[in-house]
Amino acid sequence: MTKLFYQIRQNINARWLRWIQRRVPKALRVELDQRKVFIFPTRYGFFFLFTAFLLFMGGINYENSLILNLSFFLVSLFLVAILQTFKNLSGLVLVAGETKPAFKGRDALFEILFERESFRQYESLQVTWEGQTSELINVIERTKQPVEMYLRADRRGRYSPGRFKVQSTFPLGLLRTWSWVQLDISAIVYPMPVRCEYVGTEGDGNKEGNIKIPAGQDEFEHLRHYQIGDSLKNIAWKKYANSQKLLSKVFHGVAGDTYWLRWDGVPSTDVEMKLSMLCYWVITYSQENRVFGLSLPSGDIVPSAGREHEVNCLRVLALYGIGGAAQ
Amino acid sequence: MKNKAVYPMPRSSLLLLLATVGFAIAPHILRLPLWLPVVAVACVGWRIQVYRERWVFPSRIVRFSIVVASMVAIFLYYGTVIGPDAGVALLILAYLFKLLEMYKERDAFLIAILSYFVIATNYLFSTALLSTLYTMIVVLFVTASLVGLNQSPREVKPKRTLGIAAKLFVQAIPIMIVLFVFVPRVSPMWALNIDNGHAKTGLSDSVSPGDISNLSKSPALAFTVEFFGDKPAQKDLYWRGVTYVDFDGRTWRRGSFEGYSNAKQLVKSELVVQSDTFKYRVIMEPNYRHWLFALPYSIVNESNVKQTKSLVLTRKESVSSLVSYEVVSHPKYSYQGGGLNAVERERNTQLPSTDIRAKRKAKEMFGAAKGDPHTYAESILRWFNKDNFVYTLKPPLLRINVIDGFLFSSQQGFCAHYAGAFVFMMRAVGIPARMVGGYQGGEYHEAGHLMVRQYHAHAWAEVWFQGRGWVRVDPTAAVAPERVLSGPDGAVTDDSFSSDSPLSPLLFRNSPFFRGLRAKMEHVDFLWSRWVVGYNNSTQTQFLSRWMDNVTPQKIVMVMFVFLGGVMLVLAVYILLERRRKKLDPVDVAYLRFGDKLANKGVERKSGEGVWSYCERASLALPNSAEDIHDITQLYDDIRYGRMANENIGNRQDVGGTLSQRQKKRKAQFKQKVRSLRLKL
Repeated sequence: MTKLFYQIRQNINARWLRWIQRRVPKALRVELDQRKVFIFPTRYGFFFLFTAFLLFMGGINYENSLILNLSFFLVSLFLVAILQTFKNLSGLVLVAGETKPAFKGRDALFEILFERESFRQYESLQVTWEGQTSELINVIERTKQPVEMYLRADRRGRYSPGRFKVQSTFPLGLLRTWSWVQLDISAIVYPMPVRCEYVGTEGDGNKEGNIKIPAGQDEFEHLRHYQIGDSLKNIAWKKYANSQKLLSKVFHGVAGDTYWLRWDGVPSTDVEMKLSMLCYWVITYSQENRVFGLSLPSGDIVPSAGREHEVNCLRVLALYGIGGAAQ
Repeated sequence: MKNKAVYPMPRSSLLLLLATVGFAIAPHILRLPLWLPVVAVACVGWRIQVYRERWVFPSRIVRFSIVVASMVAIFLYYGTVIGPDAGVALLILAYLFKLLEMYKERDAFLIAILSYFVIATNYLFSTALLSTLYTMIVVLFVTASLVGLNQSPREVKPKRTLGIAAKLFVQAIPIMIVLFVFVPRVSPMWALNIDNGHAKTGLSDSVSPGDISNLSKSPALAFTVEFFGDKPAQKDLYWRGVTYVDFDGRTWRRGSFEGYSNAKQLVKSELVVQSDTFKYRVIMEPNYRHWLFALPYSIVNESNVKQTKSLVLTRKESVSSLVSYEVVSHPKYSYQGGGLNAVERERNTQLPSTDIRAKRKAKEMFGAAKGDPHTYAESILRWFNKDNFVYTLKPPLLRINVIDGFLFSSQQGFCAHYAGAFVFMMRAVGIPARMVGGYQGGEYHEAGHLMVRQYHAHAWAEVWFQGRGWVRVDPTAAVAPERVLSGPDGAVTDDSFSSDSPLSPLLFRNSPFFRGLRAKMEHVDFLWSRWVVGYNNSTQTQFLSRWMDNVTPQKIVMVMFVFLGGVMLVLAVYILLERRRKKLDPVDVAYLRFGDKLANKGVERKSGEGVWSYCERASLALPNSAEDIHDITQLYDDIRYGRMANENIGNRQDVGGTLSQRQKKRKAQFKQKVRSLRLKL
């Protein structure tokens, strides 16, 4: 019996998904036109109508046409609210914004841009996405309003969350208007770092120190125009005395040893576990500012150091075995 | 979140809600016990302290005790907890205490809903135009509170919230009017009476002339009459209401078969009417009585109105709000001319054993009239006229033998004295007679309708003559004919008729300015009562039949939906297309104009061409104007993309942003330059 119900539910669910997919297809940019916007009274709305009914009965009973009129006003307000509530969502444009990667099990950041193309204002909108609910969003003054949602990433790879609901009960709370939108948006999810012993080779013995790493203050590289934020220590004061131009000295670090993080170097046979462990070491080496390369069955990343290199490595780990890893 | 966490209500919403509560209660204040406003202030203050996180909401036990205490207080004050006054007081208390129990959004919503009921109860007490306008303002505030509840907590501008609410309010009005005009009015199929406890006004169901030493001179409106076609003469305006049949020596009482439920209905065969008619509509102010006023013999076609055997119109429900009804009157009629049955004859000749002198005098005069009822009646009237009878509104009190005292010692009285004495004298010789209560006369307003006020209240007699039936005799007219011809103020021979009320129409009655002003105000009041407050089944039919023939509820509903659809369509187009147009910023408009000017000289801007490359091309083509072209482009660049562009975000004038002085200057300069640009080849 329960199985039957389960099947029926599955069936309905699948039909619903297909239907909504046709009506509001996945896209980078979704304009909420009439086909995509739904509206229905809230329980407050029903209560409000019931109040109007009670007042109507009172007006009839006491033969008081002003009480009747009040009940007519409530009905009228409700009718206007239908239009106004609907208006508060229809025409809104939702655009996939930036995403920020996260480690598995953490929250990845997704940004949706609420845009208005006309002068119509939108007020008190709310996004519900994968169980997360945003604050009330106003698109009144700016034409674009970014909305940031932190969604828990449960699987390594590209995380593309499902449909989100954008809804509003503005202005009176008597009706709710909503739409189910799927934006073409995804975030990279790195493996969850797992601490372990590294059993592979430690460094390649190259002690010459000829590998440049962007961070560090070991060697002078060149001069460039001063930018706000440059350390005062790095300003070439002598040059300034000569030419009256503010120049900053740019240094780079030098690493002596080059390390390789290899597929076989971590103590696990499980692919996901291996990736997690390598992830841990990528982070650790980056923190220690070492020069390291990453060697996976799918290819190698040449040794380097710095934030960019770290992100590169993490990305490769995240997308290992998943289409699109080639980049 | 803990269950008892306080709902973080948006500030502007709370402010509006508290204002709403205050405004909604205000018109009730005078009807409420004195301590209630104190409770109101305390509750509002407490809620504010909770908002400021100084205090917490009272605990359940405290709340419960407050509720019980106030119930007891209400009971002690009114002596009941039901009835309109006590009921409203309880409603308002519940409304106030709800303020101290706002844990959820739902509670705040409930307060808004309760506001509607508090407003509605105000209509039970006052339906005047001004107080209705006031309540509409309160309704606007309720709407604003609802808007506030749905705004982001960061929204702190109640003025903006009110603006949004005002927009909704204005848009709802046309729909409301359509519903008001077209929703078919039905009579209540049930009757929940609220008149217990109401001070009844106007005529009562008994009259004791000897007990009254100071008759009401109230100028309050009793009813308004709108004649369709001919108007009767002033002296014929006898608005019949009640018949007083039973007399116990002191008090005249209403016949017991004149209630709606036990009414003995009139027998049509006893009635002979002539075809002359007056048609009119009466708009009656609430008096919490069951009888209606009309000129006899009158026909009222309302399902809840009956005509009794004494030709009194009795209504099923009491008149607790403005009631309007249409009447057709046949002024020439004779009723029960064929004869009275024994029961009726006995009741209409019944007398107490008091007032021996009057009875003796009656027999004497009847003998002098040789037993002819007509001659006898005339001789009594002549006596009233000749002797030293005085018409006054401040007669001396009479304790025992009221009729004797009036006829032979004081000889001062008003209509009820004369009518009572006359009926007594008739009955004393066995002629059936009764006293009738109602209104006499009225004042015509410039707009044509007749206003009958409380001081037009009058009592007269009806005497039954064999062959003629019941005939109206007004003994007061014999003493003070002016009473009938020009109203009560002309009749009194002493200064008893002057009013103490500052707003009385009797004051300033000699100043044409005040008279004109009052006439205008009264006319607006009349239209309001006639078309809005008194808009009922028959008014609706009358109003709609101006445009359609054969008004039926089905037809009205159909027309209503047509209008409703139309109004909704217009609103939908307005709301959904409002601001949908992609309006251009004034700066862009000016720049496009600049482009047009250049295009006229043959330099058209290509699509996708940047402003600077366009500037370069145009400068080459029009070297003499190169400087102007460059300046304009520079200004546009500054405004749109320069450092000012950032300030511009969110500061477009149409969304209410404020521009810095510098920006304003720059924009004005830009527009000016484009306008004055004269291109030279």
